Amino acid sequence: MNMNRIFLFLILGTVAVFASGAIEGEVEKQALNISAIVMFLIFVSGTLGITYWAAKRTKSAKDFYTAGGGITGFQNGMAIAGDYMSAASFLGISGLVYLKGYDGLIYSIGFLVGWPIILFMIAEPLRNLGKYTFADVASYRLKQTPIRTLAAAGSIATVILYLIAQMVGAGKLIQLLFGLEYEIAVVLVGVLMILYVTFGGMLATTWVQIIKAFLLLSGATFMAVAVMAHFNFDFSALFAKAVEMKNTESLDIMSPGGLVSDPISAISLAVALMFGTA
Amino acid sequence: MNKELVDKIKNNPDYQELVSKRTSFSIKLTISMLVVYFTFILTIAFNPSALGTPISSDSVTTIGIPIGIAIIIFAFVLTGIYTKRANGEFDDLSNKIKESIKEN
Repeated sequence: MNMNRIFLFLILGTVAVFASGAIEGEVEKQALNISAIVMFLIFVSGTLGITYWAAKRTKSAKDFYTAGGGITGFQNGMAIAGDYMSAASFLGISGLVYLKGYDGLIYSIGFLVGWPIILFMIAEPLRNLGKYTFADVASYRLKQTPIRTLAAAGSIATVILYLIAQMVGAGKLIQLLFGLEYEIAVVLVGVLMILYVTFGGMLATTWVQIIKAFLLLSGATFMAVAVMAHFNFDFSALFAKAVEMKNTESLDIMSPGGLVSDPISAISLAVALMFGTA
Repeated sequence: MNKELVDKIKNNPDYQELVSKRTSFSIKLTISMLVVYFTFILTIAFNPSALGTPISSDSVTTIGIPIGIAIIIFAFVLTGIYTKRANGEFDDLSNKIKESIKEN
């Protein structure tokens, strides 16, 4: 199983290397940024340490998939939050709001709305069945082989579209921060991903995500408070400044329409965002 | 789990109460979330200028901003309501069912 997963990552890594053209843009190779590299190495060695610690404790399937059931509700909540606050919410939405204004807010709302619905409809039955993965649950009631094939096909389709975008993003980010070659950056990201998931299982993933959630939440809160302090905690002043900055492009960033300009695309985006979470 | 035990749980009035209450509660919450969300989306789709109305004449802040934030808060509140009831009433009921099964 581990070999297959490594193989899959290798393929995806290769695709990601070639997919770099997707966001070619103005990412210039930067001068070697020592402080960023040191920060990155501290974070990576810390999280790899957790993975090593977790790998020694992971002995059964129950350990691998559910951390032996030893994760508390709060810890798990933090981990899901960390998992969820990916590059998309931290960098993507901010960028989208910067570019398109109000339409970025539509994205954040759409992402969010799927979550309560999963909680209301799926969370409890899933817990009651005591299974690990979606395929396990579906094949509990339906025929094993076809449903597992379907689940695998679905996962691979999602992973190809989603993970490659993530790896391209992460590769670009590391390229930008460290002044590394893009190809090396992507391979580095891929190798780290493999190490975290294959060896550590759910226990390591959970703790890495908890740390990530904590860092992102505190970082984003600090930035939000700092920005608001700059405007004396006056929201109208902040919005007025934003509109002033964007004025040159004669784009109305305070109302919808920058990105979704017709009814069909609005509805299609809304449904896609909601199901994207679910 | 053997057939006899499954039947016993299925015929337990507490179990039936739990299932019906929880199902209707989940559906109600889901529908309210969807109604709020799609009202917002359909407004964007068919009447986007409604959300672009400034709050006051001298302000650049549009009515869409507080509405968007309100939807986010609404999702949090619904989650809170669900969690409170699931951890309280529903867990109590399911513990009661477990106890009564053990006793017999």
